[in-house]
Amino acid sequence: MNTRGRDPRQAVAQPVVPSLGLDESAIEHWQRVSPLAALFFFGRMAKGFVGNLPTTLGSVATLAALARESIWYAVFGGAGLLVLLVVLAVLRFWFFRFCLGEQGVRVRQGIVKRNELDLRFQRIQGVNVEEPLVYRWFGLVTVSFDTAGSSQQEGHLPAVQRQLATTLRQQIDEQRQTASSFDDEASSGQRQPESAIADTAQVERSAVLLQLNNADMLRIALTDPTVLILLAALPALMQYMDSASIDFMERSADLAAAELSGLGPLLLALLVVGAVLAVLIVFLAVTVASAFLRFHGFRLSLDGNVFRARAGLLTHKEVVMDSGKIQQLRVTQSWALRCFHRFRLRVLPANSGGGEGNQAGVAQTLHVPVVTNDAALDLRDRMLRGEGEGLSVLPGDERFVAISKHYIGALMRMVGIAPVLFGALVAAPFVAALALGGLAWFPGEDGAAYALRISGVLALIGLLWLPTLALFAWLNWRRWGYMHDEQGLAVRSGFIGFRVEVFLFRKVQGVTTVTSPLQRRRGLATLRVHLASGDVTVPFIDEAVARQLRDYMIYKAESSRLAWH
Amino acid sequence: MTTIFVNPEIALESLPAAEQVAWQRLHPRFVSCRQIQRLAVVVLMVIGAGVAAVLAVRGGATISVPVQTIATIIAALLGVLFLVWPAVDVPRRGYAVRDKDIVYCAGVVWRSVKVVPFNRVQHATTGSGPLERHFGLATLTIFTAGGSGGDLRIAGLGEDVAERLRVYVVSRLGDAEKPAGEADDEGAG
Repeated sequence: MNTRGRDPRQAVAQPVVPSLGLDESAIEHWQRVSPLAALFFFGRMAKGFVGNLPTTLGSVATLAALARESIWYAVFGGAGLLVLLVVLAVLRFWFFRFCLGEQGVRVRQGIVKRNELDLRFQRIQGVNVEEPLVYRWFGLVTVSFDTAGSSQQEGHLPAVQRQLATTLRQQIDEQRQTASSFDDEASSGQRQPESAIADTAQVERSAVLLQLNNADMLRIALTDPTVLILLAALPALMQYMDSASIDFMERSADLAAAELSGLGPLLLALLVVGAVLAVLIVFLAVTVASAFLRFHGFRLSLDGNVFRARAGLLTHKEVVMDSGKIQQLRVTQSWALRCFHRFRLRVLPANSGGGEGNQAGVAQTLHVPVVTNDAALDLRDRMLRGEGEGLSVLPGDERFVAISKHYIGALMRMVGIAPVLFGALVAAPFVAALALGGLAWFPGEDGAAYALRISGVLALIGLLWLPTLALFAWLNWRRWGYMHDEQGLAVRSGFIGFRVEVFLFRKVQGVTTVTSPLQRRRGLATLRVHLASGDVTVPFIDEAVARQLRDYMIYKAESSRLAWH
Repeated sequence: MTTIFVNPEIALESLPAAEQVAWQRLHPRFVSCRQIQRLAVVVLMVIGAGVAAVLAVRGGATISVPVQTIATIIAALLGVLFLVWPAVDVPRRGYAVRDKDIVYCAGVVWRSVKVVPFNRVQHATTGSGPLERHFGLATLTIFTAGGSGGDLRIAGLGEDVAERLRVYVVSRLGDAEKPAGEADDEGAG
């Protein structure tokens, strides 16, 4: 694991910043962070305040009530609130202390209720760094820890010196090495392949693997899923624009009646198109800006066996992941990304829940927003470190094996026919009652005729529903596929876009095979693999294959001498 | 501990299949425990419906005879189902402890077989509710780093069996190659 190419003891004995209290003598050296940490606390509290609906609504209502009295009351009220937040932030900074020990970091915080957090280096999975613009001027960073376990407490060190992050990472590496050398057999088994890889890693130490340029930022912005939401909302928006402009026309008609109404239809159309374009442009500007803010200067580098993804325009954010911690690779391609021939890659560590992972106690995923074919394959090789070479991360690969066609029928039965039958059962008595004149919802209308119309509409919905669903089920079935080699499994799924999940057998936490009555009749089974980063499912494959895969995976997990994290 | 799997070039057919084990069945008293648990739910529902009916009648509403009979039939059917189901379901659950993992099968309609290797276990707990204690039963839960999906929960074990299993599982999670990581006993990943 000593791929940094230096003696670990030297790494300990290097007190990068003397004031950090790394000397053996100062074991209990409690220190404050920079006063700029108040900014961090202010930001968190402001976020919490706005995110909390009752407080937001309450304060807005109060301010509105004050404003009705006098606008100045509201201004003073708002200012008071701001001052309160600032004072609280400063107080939180004042009571925030941390202590860097041999075994871990301890954090004391809290204004009224004090609490102390003891983070052991052994338990820390990763040290991530965030660098807001203001902090950068002063060489400060906010360090956050990925910890395993469901600790609800936040592991943050706001506004500390940049070197502290480096020191912490070294300390953690160190701990890992001493801990692994306890078990001789395991460590020798573990050392072998790692050192073999270390040789190649030596050559390209701290190699930059991927950088994103401005064109990539545009691609990110254009493939932003929120663009889709806007496009979906466009018709509604247009309707609104339409009525608004008619309104406008009517009003302006009073002023310049003759000419305007003469130009009427053309002008109206121009107005509507112009307004829609304006909204679209503003929206695109926002997504482009957000892409730049989040991913500007994105750089993925490999330092020994540690991946670092660093990005951000104002706030630099760095996510660091040891390659041994990687549990799963997830490559997705929405139809928008497909137009650009690009993919999105997420690298999931343990305990990430597979999500974006920005909460406390949840490990952060390493997120590569756009990546090309070749780069994706290259990253697969590097991240799996030569294992699972037969696995493709690209959804277009021909080697994906399709699942059974019975999947379509089962899906139709589960979400298609069953609800229709149920709906018919529920609707039938009402329709019958209407027809028999037992219900008089609409006085003056013939009950029987009404019942006929309702049942007609319901039948139509039912008839339209089934083909639509069949189409989607078929699309979904076409996306499903799996491939495996000696070391791992790749599973493809999706509806319109694609998603490929890749993992190594030896990292598996447990495996379940499930069979439904239908599957038993057809000799099929569903395979569910439990990983430390979440579950991966392969539905409707041959039962014998499912069992064999399960037994093989379990065998790999049990016989592997490599650490799974 | 790693002597069984010395040969990495193992033929797929010769891998130990999780189905070919001698399943240990759950404690027979678990059936009655389940029946009582389920019936308690029905009884509560009947009481709730009765109270609602009494209030409605007091409020001046009338409950027609068909509605009464339908409600009674539904309650009776549910009661019978809950009495019969555990007797069908429980015998189909079973577990097996192998050298390197624990296997659990369950299900009547959807049948599942779950395998959890000992060297992936984070920790294990036993627990029992008041009713389970009365029957001398306990639930064993084995936690892996796979989140709730990867955890293994076996209800309806005899108290002594559950405790022995827990001690055994915990003793086994140490002998797997311990990574230089967090896998300490509280680290539920």
